[in-house]
Amino acid sequence: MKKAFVATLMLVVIASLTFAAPTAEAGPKKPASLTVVVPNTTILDPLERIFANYTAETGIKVEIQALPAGEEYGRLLQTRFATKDYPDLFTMDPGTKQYTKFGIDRLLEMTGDKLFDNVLEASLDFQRYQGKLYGAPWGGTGTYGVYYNKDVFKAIGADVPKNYADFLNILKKAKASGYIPVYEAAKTEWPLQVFSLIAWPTFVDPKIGDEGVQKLERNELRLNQIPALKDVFSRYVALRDAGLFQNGYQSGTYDEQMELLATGKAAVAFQISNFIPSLMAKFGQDYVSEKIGWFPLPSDTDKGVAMLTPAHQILVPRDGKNTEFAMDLVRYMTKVENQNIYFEYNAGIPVYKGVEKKLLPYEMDVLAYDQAGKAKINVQNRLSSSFTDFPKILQNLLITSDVDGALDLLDENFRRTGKARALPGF
Amino acid sequence: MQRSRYPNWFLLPTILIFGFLFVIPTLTSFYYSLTDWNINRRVISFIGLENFRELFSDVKFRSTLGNTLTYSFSVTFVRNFLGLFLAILLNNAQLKGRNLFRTIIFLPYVIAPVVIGYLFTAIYNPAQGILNQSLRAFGMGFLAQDWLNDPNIALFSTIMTDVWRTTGFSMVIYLAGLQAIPHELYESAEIDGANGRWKLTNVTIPLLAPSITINVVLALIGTMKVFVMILVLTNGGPGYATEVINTYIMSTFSLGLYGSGTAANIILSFLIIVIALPVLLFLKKREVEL
Repeated sequence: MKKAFVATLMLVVIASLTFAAPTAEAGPKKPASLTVVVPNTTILDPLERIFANYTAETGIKVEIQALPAGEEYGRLLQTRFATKDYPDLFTMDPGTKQYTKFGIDRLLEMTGDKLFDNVLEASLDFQRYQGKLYGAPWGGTGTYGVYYNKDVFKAIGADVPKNYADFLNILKKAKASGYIPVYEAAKTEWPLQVFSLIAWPTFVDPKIGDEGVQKLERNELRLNQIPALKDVFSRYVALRDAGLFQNGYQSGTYDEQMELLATGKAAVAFQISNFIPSLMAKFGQDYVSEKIGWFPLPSDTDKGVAMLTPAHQILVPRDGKNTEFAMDLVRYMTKVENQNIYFEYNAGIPVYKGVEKKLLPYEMDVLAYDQAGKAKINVQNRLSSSFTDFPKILQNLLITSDVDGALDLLDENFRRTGKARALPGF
Repeated sequence: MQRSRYPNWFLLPTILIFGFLFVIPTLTSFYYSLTDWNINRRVISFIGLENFRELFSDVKFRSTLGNTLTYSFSVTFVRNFLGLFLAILLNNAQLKGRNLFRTIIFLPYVIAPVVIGYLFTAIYNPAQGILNQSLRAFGMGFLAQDWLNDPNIALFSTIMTDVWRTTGFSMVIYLAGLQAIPHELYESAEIDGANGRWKLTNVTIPLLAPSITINVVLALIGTMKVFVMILVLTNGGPGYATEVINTYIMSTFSLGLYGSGTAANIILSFLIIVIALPVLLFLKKREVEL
């Protein structure tokens, strides 16, 4: 009886191993669906089209989860990482600071993947952390800058300013003619940081150079010890003091900023290129192409240096349930034909070779600056720590006019964040 | 020997629940305030009082302390003053419709603070808000303000919103206190020739002392923990003009700085004890037995 039992048991074990073997050779089990997390400001139409095609090809459904955008987005994802509630993949702002935010040991390394063969090399330069890549570019290169209404400029006889003094004269002329010179969305907070960030490549980079930025990265240079940055903050306060912001700028909102710029009541707005698709959705592509122009913040001596925002990126949590299939979806999303779908709906300069995109007039201008070597990547994307609470610091700066105080706060938050992220040198 | 009605072990479930859900988290929070716990670290290290040192060297945190105290003392004083005034007014049996007035004044207290916050965001709107429109309609346009975006008056606007919401609650407690005062005391005072003011200062206020104690202490504790009203109305802005300790704690936690956020929470608890306890003892001493 005992022998029969042992023999039966062995038979069962051998049989189960035999049947299990082919499954093990076939690799991980195909999931029924994959979860993709995006900020809720994302235009979903292209994603839905791309994912519908992917489902038709693979049988795997793709669920889009849109989380609140802005700083909240990163925090919500960090919380999900902390609780091991990983999405299969997610889109994120560009730059290595995202790697340090989530921890490189918790992100899937993508170095050497074939998808990068088709990426323009320059767009990866700032994205390598210790020589490795953890994110695939998603979308196009954009820009922050001075967006202006061409009709207003025409009415006051202005052209793209030749230098900072010329820029101030244009704003004063606009004011004298009854236009709002600069509309600032102080109530919405985040647009306030645009001026300082577009001023960085024009005024700060030439003074501290790439070496200065590397020192910031290693915490060997303090933000409040950069005279050029202090000068930028002072110029910002001076614009306000000269009455070049709209009346009641503290109540200014992003929506009104877009509306008044597009309809020619405001001459300029310091903005990011992400607002162009929203304007196009409201006013149409032709209207926006015809009415809205862009230029970098001019320096004291020339037209200034353009600030570029790199393409966003797709990241895959290393401990996700379906990393292989998630990576497969990343490769699919970044194929040329799917990039073409993306650019049917979005602005930006493609970073994948062979993508067909008719650039808007302002994008041609950005490209011209880039090709002339007069463009720099947004400093925030070159650093691993963050300018935490920057919009509120600037809101406070406009209340107190305390330039040194604002710089001290910015510096303190930058070092505190670096320390919290356990970055070397902090 | 008197036997208790129930055996002591009946308390066990309550002690266990209270212990797990309150005592242990409270005690552990003291420990975590002394660590570098944050969202980026998987190993938590003991760092002593470093979080507290950083907080007190942070200009922003120091300004939240000032804003919190201004908010707390202002709301406590105004809502108690108004609550007492309205209670005395609506305690008059001769007043017609007093129950309706009591209900109307108490009503804001039962509405969720977040709803009131959104309501007042609309009321305070500088262009379309009913407050400025009313002021202009009554020829007082010079008083119209950007109530929530002007850093000089934003905190005042949030204070007045909270006063509007909570005065009814204070009034109800004072009304209960007033109704507990024996009428004979007033009659005796009248026979002795006392006027209204004398009765107020020598009968009403002293005998209302227990209600004053409850109202003041509850208001102090509640307002030092203010959060929703500020978050919805101003989000601590413009700049840091209306930032209070709880909104600071929220932003610290949002940044994933859990150790630092917990330390700020400990400071808030300590502040509440340091202020509320002496006030409670002082007011208790002044209470009169009926």
